Amino acid sequence: MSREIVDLKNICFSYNGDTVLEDINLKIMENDLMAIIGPNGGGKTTLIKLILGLLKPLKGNIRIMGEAPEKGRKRIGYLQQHPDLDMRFPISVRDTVLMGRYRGVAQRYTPGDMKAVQKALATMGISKLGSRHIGMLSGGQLQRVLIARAIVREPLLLLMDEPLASIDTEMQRSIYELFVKLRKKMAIVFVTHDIGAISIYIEKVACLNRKLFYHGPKEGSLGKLEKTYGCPVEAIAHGVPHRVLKKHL
Amino acid sequence: MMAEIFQYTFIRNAIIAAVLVNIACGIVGTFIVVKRIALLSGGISHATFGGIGLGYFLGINPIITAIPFSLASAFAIGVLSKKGKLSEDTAIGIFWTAGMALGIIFINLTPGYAPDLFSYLFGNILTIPITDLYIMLALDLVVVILVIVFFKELMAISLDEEFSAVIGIPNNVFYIMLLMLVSLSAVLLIRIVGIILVIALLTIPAAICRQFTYNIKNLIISSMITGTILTIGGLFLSYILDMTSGATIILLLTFAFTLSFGVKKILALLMIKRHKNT
Repeated sequence: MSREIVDLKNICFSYNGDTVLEDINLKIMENDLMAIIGPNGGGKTTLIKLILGLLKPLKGNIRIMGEAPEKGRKRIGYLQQHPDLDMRFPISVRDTVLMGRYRGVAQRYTPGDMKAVQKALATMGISKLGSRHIGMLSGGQLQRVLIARAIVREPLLLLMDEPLASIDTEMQRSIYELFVKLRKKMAIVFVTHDIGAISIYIEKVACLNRKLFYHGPKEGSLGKLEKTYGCPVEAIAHGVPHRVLKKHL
Repeated sequence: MMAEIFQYTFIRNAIIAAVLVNIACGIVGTFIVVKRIALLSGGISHATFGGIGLGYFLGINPIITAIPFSLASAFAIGVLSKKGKLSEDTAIGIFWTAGMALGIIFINLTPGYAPDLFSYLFGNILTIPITDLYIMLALDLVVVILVIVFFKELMAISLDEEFSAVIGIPNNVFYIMLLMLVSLSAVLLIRIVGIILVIALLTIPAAICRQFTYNIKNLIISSMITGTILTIGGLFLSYILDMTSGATIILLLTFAFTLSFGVKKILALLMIKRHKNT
């Protein structure tokens, strides 16, 4: 029996009177691997910020492990879409990741935290970059550092905003393989506008454009497609000719 | 004989002051530079002039009244820019000028002549009384202790506010605390370089040093040392040339900043050469 990690009930949100999200219902369960796809302006980032309690819903209720987002978000590892990082900021990769272990005021980092950082760097395949300055990283390396910073707190949910944007297909594949490895320990949910980024590894898909349409694991024909094509299928969604997901009602 | 002792004391006070201010400046200046809030800090330091005027008006040491005044303006700018509908640069513009105007009005309201006014505006490191040295020491202690205790939080909000919110750091609290540290440093600096030039001593040493290190602790320490050397250097230069100490110190800082670009270039070239040789 898997636990429920995030529960969104009847969420509505608007910016200055423009409805961005309408009546959103979504449950994220333990070990889920879910993609939420939608066009630009469809409300994807807003949804993530609502889950994290960075924005307040107009209506509806959000629970993270039964707690309010401001409390429960400590259990979420978060990867921003465009982190507002100054690449000249004087900090090493190791110290950047260590920030993810923050527990509270006047609580020092322990040797256990250091070990967790080492482990997260190893998981992301960047152990050698620990003492490098963040300004010296390539785009792909930086993305791995930021994912390491998100997973180093051993969250129950890894929530990512466009994690695959601006990285090439080869790199996307290795990141997907990583997700598969990570999901044994945490639920993984990401949003993307790029239908091509949905791969066979994803078993739950939700489509978001003001409203959310959930395509559960029952529609897991994504995997079958791969057999049909004999290669990882990446371009699938509501389009013709290969309808894989049901039409929205 | 008397003259010599007098000279010895004021020079000694000036050197102690230079060291004391640069302790706070190295720390707070580093955060100003890495968090890119130089203009905001300029606004806070200018607004402090209102507190100086208040001191004249009440007939007490203007540095004493400048402390609460400066803290209050830092708090107000922080709250307005974070929570209000006002954009940050607008808030800065308003406080910058309103604080200075208030200072002038207070001085207008004070009967008689305002002595030393010029030294609060442009600094005069050679006339620092011993009581002000004790105030500087106290402010230094506050800055050093707060930064040591909340180093992790200050780092996190400086690097990435969104992430720091998610890991449970109350951003606004620490942001306002940082601005208050800036205001305390500004008060420390008023005697040395004057309100108008405070921001230079807060930013230039860190701006010089960040070109040579990627480690924030090294950056803080090297900024302290650089700032102290240049302040004392500027002090002697102003003494020899008989110029205003604040302005001389700032121009020396600017000169050193320009020079540091050249040094950085030469170092980079040497690195490439060594690379080629091996």
